[in-house]
Amino acid sequence: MTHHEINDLELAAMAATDAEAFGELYERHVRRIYNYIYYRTGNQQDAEDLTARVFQRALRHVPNFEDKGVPFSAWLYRIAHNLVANWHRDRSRRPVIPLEDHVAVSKVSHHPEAEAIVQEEQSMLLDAVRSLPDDRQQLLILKFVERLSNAEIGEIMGRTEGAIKSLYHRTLIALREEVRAKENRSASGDEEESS
Amino acid sequence: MAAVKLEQLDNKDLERILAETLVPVEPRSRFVKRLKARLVYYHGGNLFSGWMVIVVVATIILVAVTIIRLFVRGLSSWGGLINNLSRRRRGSAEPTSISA
Repeated sequence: MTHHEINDLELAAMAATDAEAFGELYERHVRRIYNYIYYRTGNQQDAEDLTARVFQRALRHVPNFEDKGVPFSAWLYRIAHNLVANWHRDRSRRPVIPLEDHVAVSKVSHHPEAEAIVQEEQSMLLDAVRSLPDDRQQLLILKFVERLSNAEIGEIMGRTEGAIKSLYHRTLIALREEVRAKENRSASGDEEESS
Repeated sequence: MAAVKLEQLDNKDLERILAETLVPVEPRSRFVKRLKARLVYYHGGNLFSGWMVIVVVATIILVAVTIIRLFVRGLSSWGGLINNLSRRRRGSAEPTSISA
């Protein structure tokens, strides 16, 4: 049986002594962990740095990994979540987010004006998402980037499906509030500049 | 920002924009490959067992001894060559009257 045919939890048990088993786990999860960190930090350099740290930490602690009935990815996400929280704490100022890099590739249009509006919307939305509490950001990333169901998100976040549904509903309301606040701040900034 | 009125959107539209904005990004393949190599190499920490250290040290000593031997041999050959040349030079410089 090759490593490809073995499930995550069995691989995790083997990974303490088998480098290839850990390599297979890495291949399966590196992209989703990178995506999670990328959207939490907003830039490629920090996403790469923190992704590397997540897997180095996972490698150190994989011999202590216990199957508690949650997916292996939940364990990785928890490590990523803690490292991102430390990263935010360590930074004295908010990160400079190269939103244009991401937004420019996500929407291709032949109408420059429409494209500019869409990019502006997306930039503002990403900014608003990053202003939300950690668990709400995680929920949105898992739902939209990873396209996971509420049940799967619940397993990763250690909550019930109903709790995730409710959290999602509150998150959309909070996101709209955040966008409104940002637009108001932006409008008052424009007025100050013109006067 | 006047054109952007996200707060007026209903949930469906907000979800649509979220789906268009929060799209999967692909990490650089070079980064993914390098990190894997680093992790697998690091994971192979048990390769640096006592035996591995002995093998590495023995190899280094062997290579060093070989290099020193070659160097000494080269040096002695060079010395012998110079010695021969100087002897020949001395031999040709001797006065012929003595032999006569």
